[in-house]
Amino acid sequence: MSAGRRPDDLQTIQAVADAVAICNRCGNCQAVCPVYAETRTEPGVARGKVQLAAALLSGVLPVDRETAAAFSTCTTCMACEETCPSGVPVVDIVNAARAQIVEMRGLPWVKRVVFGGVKRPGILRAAADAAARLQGAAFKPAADRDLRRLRFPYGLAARRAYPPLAARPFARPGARRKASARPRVLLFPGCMVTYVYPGIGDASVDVLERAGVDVVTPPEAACCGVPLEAHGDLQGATDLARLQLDQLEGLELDALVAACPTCTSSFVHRYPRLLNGDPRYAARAQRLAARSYDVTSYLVDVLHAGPPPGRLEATVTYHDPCHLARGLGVTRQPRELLTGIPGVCLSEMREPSRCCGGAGSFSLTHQELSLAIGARKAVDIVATGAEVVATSCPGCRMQLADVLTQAGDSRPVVHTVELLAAAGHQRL
Amino acid sequence: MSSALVRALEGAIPKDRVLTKASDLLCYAYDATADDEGRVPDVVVLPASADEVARVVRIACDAGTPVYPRGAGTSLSGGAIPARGGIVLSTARMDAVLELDAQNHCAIVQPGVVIQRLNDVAAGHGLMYPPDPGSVAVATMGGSIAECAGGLRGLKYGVTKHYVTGLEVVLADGQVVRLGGKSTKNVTGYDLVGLFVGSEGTLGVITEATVRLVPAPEARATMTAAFARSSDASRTVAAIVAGNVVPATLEYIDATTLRLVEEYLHAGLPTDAAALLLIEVDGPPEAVAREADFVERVCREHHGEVERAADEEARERLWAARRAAYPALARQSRGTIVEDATVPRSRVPEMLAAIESIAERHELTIATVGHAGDGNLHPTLLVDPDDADLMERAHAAVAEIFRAALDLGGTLSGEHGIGSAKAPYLGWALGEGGLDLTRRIKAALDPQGILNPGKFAE
Repeated sequence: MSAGRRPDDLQTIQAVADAVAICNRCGNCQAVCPVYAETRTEPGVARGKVQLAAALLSGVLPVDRETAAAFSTCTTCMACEETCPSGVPVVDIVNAARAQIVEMRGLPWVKRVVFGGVKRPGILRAAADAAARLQGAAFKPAADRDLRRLRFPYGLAARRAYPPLAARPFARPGARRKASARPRVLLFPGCMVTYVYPGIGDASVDVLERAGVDVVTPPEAACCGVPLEAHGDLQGATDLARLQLDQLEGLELDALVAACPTCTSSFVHRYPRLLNGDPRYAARAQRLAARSYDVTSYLVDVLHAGPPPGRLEATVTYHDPCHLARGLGVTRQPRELLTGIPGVCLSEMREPSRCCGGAGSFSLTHQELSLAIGARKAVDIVATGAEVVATSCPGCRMQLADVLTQAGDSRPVVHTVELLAAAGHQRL
Repeated sequence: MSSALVRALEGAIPKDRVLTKASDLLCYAYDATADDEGRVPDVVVLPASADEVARVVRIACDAGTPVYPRGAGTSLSGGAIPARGGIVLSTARMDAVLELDAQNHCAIVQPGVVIQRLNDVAAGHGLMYPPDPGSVAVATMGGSIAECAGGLRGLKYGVTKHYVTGLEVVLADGQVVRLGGKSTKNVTGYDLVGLFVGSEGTLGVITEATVRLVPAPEARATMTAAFARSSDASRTVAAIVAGNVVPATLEYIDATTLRLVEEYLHAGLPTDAAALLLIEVDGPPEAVAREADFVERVCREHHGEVERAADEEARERLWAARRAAYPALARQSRGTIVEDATVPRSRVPEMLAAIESIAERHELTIATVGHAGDGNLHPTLLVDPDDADLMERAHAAVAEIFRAALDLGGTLSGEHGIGSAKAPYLGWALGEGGLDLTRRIKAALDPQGILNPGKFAE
């Protein structure tokens, strides 16, 4: 038993105590867990983590660095939730455990510094700007695909191949008021699109405008908060949720769309949950949730967008991002958009919704595991013989490009909207 | 556990496969058995070869420390729980399909191979490995052989013991023995392979298995039949078998289960029915057509309302109710105790009646699905581990279910094994003579009692 711990010290994880209790330890999650497939150890899989949460609750397991490490080996891909006979909300439990540990032990200093910056848009922008200018010193270009490798090998990090930061961040803010009768859509770019893949932002604007809407972006490019919550910084994540709602307040919007499903799920699921009970924000979070969409589902389900005017002769395979397929239930819409492009032939890979191992910062904190999970995805992609890999998440795109590079493969990886935009301009 | 022992284990297998952190050990305290708190082991090892297994067992033997073989930890009678502390030996890293011999219709596998994976490999040769426990997507070959797992196809295809023809086993003193082989016929001495199948890890650690495969059926036909009276469903089962037709699947789903599944699935199930049968026949197309027509006729003659699947999509729909049975029950209560008392096929109606009256007497919800064709029923008690009174009634009911099955000429377990959960009742089934023989076999092979202690064999 840990000394001096009272039940009310554990409020954050107490909130999921009922969820922990419904796991009947059948072990079915072993069939689908991407982490378990690599580690083959029980702490890797959901059943193990739920039992560890139970042990935290009962005081058997101390809140220490070892416990924090045990809860860190999860990509939150939700595959276990989909297969669980009892409907255990595993990701909520993992996040609650991570948050509980941070509450009691604090954030490690590196994360404290980084998240401190992420929470303040101005600092984040300045840091990204400086990094974009200085990256030539730290990274050397990797072959193909515009990726770069770390110039100074810091352990395994040297193996990873990442795209360079954008020279000019994506931004396209508009007036606060509606200027035309056309629907007005806020494109929430998120950090990855803003600083790494501005092309996805440009393509989203292009495709949305062609479908007949006006597009604006938020006044400030700020993080949605998922990376903070994933590392247990619940307070930081909640602060960012409020910041986002504040800056969107008063904007005349018909819908909010994002090309990053993790950002989208923040607006659809996380903010209403984080701000539940907050008298100033709860109702606003709910209202915005009802109008928030992934860009592909907005194009198909709301705008009923027709095919692009151009043609694209290509065999394409599609990877389902976890937070889009399982988080938001969107799998049909991107496929409809892709197969709607004249000339495109869709070649499905084995297990298209299996996690690619990217999982945001997981790819940095657990590089070996992330690469091993991704290597399986690379094999499945290569087996399709497709010329182009499409996905609907900038994080997945970065991971897929990296693991294909690691596998010595150079086929392009793009976001669904980039293919649509390219077909619209009849180029690629 | 002494640090000397951990050091010895770290000398025997790579250090990163010897787990000693609290957060690791806690994850090996349990299996899928309800109503068992489990017990945290002192150390977990993940050997990668028979040689490494032998080294671990020799160290345990020298120290007199218990060893608990573990596959995927999906056992339902406590078989994988480290009841007395000691070493959990996970076979998860030994997961190679070593050979698929299409000519001899057999495969050689390491113990950590997941059953479904063997089937995926076999399917490439038009073959299949018939035992299919509900945990087929995660359970390992080693674990399912040690537990002699059954499944939904038992009536026609039998259970695990009918498919194992060869084993490599590490004995309690670390000696490695190879038993049987690829031959289908083999009467060379005692049936030593048979001794280890279903031995629940109490006699040795399985490190390799040779199993028989069969040609995968070319065709199948699936139907459900809903009955207003459960006696009609039982008579239908008897009439089908009396007609010398052996379906691959002949599942019974009772009214309680139907109601709970419908509340969960909203699939338009006949909730006014007293029982539903799910029947599947398989084989060559001509035989399947003939047998399916026969089965359908028999169902109708017994007032069954039949729905027959026209295509794969319809088949999936018919199977949905059976597949959803466990999730529906699991979501309905804080806990489930799944029993598997088994009776001769002809006594199934009496057993169903007995379960119903036991549920009533103890004011419990017991939902029963079962492999009606082979007499293997799964009365599932909906319980709450935090409700002491309810748990007490549940335990009394479980004992009465066992008693009833034995009184009908049946047995304690059809496919989940005895483990620790049913150990107190073993004497009821085996008698003093049978218990004594069991203990003498155990003492002969494992005189120190270090292999999976705390289970039925002591």
